[in-house]
Amino acid sequence: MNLERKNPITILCYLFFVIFITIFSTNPIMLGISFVSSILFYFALKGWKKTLIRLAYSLLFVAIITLVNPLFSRQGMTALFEIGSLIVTKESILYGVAIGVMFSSSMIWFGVMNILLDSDKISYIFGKYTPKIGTILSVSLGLFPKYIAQYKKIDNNLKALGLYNQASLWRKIKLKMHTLSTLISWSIEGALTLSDSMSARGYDLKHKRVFGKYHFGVSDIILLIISIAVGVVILVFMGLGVGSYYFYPTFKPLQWNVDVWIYFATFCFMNLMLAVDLWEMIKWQFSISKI
Amino acid sequence: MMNITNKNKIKNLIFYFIAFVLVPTLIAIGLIFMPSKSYAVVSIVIAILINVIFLFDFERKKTATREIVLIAVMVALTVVSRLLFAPIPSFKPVTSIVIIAGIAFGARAGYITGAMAAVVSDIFFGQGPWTPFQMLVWGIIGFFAGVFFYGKTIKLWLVMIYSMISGVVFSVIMDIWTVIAIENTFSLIRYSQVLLASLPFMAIYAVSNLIFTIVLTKPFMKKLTRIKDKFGVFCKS
Repeated sequence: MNLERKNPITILCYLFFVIFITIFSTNPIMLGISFVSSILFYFALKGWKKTLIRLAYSLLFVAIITLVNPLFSRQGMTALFEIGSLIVTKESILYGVAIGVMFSSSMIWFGVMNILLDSDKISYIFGKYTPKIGTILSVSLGLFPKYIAQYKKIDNNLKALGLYNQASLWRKIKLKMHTLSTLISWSIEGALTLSDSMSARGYDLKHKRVFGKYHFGVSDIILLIISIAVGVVILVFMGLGVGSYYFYPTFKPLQWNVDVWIYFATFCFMNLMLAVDLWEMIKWQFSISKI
Repeated sequence: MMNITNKNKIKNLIFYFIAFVLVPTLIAIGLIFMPSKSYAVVSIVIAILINVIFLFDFERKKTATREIVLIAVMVALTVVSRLLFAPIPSFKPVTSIVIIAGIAFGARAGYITGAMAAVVSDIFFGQGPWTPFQMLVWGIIGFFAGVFFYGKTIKLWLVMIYSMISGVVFSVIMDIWTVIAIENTFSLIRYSQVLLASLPFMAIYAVSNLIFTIVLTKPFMKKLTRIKDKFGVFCKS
């Protein structure tokens, strides 16, 4: 998988632009493009089953937002029907659909981000520019599973001592608190040992470097430049109001000028820029044996 | 000696100026001069900007290795506690531990603990557009805990009140984000509706913060104070 070997900063920059543009566009066609390509990405990374589950959740979310939105916003020109004093308009329902699609596609993009940027890569990004923060991040990520294991150990010890036998709920809560308290004192003592051993291994030295197995290759630089350029172009288009869309008081008719076409095409290009990698991964998903 | 402390004071003043004067002015400019539908852009940019300022400020100052590791331990503990209480929705000791970190380590370290707790726990629970806001809110809670209580004799009832208020503040600020995300603009009517809908959550936040503060503050602070005295970390300069 080529995409997972790319430099995390490039990936972060690319996904940031895609998500940023998705969140702030109201144009239904833009939202459609974003939704379809996010699903495609998710499928390429996760396979059939998870994508279908994700899709079902998204549709449920869209349905809920669509039902709830008319309750809150009473704007819109075309009244469909009335329930008591509540007038449900076509605009408010369709606005709900658009917002639902926007939300679920940005959530799916964030899902893609969670897969592509795992904890290693996040601590690499932080560690490169803010080394202390990076240290905090990677140390706490390393300590976290140890603490969970230690918590279970302490808890099992208390169980083996028979303290949980016929204990009332209040006593159980107190025992859990006791376990947490033991964990806290154990971890704070361990912290100082850890920091002393870090110092002994030269963490305090001036000319230390940050670990990172990613380097800026040519393809990374090209991808970074293209994604920044395309993102800025789309944001400039948005700022100029090309392809802007509104639902209230009534729908703005969709325009089909040349610049609008360019706008949509640029966003399409942005979403499917990684198509080579994507195609490879999709082929992989199809060739996984089903046995 | 005098000179150095003066320089530090000036640096601190610049930092506070950026954090509490420049950023609010930026918000005001954004709201007044930018087109009406740009609240969401402005709010996200501001949230990221404040976090960047605080993180770089922490980076700029000298920090001992022991202090860095202690902050990391506190962050890991908040994430563990969030995981242990995962079955009960929004009943989490995270805010209380962040407050305790602020009290024990001071304002800046409190901010870093809160912000990093958000980042690390979102690695396990899922990143989203809410991450910068969570960083901001927990960071600010830790920061002001440090401002109010760091280096003073702790009065538990004050900390209790502070923890309840911070539960409410957490809910209120996260609701601003919800409204902006759904509406793309900020309307007071919508905001009050969302606030009303989230009242039970707010109550749970406040009560859980209160409970965890009562239970955790004394033993936690005892341990941290012992460590601080024994190893000379996070001393008030």
